[in-house]
Amino acid sequence: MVKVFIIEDDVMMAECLELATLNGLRQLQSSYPDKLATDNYTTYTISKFTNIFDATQAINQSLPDLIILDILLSGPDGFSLLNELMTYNDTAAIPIIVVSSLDLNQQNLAHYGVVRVFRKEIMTPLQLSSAVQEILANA
Amino acid sequence: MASEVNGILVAAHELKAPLSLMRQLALNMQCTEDTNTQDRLCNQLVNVSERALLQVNDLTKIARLEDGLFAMEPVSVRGICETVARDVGSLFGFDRKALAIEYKNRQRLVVANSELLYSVIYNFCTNAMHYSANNTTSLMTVSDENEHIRVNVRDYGPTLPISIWRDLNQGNLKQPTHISMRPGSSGLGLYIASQFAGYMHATLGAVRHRDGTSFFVELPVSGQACLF
Repeated sequence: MVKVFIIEDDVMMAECLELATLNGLRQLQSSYPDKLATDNYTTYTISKFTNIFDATQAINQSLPDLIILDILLSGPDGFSLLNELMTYNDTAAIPIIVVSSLDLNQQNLAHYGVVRVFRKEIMTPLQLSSAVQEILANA
Repeated sequence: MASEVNGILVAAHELKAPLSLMRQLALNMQCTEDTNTQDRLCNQLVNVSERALLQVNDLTKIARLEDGLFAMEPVSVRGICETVARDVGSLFGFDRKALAIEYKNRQRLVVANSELLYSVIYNFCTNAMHYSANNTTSLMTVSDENEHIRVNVRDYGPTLPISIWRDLNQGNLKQPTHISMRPGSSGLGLYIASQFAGYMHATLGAVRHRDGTSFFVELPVSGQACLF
């Protein structure tokens, strides 16, 4: 079963990211059924978190296959999670998509496991769903 | 000139978030075929746009304060609080948060301008909604303070930095200030509230808590008899 974590403190924006992710997962399911079909019922789950504390707790319990991360969060920001994740062998391997209003460069964040960076102002749901599909297909 | 440019930058920054959210909501509406999801997204789109419009409206009001166009009159503070609570209720609901009101006041009328007072309390509430943790209930309290009535909104988010708390309580908030412990905040809502409070001869302040912040406004009680 594929697990995707979305970490975004704006609940409405989180729902938008969830819908796009869901589309990506559905496309993945139809294109690569073997990637997702581990049983006949549940093939993927999407979990949403509004802060780093809850997300870290969930990651410690069960590693996700992909993280979609906002940077400017209430409390500790997305960079603190990136720093934490890169220090452990297992979490350092998790691919991360950063979705932020900040102007960030993917190459500068690559060593954190960031594979895509999207600006909230110009991103489209299609871009995110394609990225989800592509990253998980190659995982 | 520099402060004008700074003001424009702050306003632009503050409006960027709702505009990009509205764009995402609209694009997702186009992508989904499920009518329930479309309805929900449409509802959210309306709410976010209304909130952004109110903020733009407040900015234009600041420019008109000097003209003295906002009449001061006896205003029912409970009426305003209830209107604000009703208007922001759905926004709190989207975020799985809640807002409760507690009345501890005997006096009912204050000297204020109802439009400006609405904006001050609305700004406190949207601030509480944005920065409170999930599944928490922000509390709006209306209480008597000698010859004043205090409207206090308590949130459960990051506490206010000491420098801004000091500026606010000393009435020195001269321009929007980025609130470092509250990401994404330009402090514009607080600045708007302080300008409107100043116009109404009301006192604006904040109380720091270890698990959040209370923002309050104190308004002079009206001597006019209240008939309701």
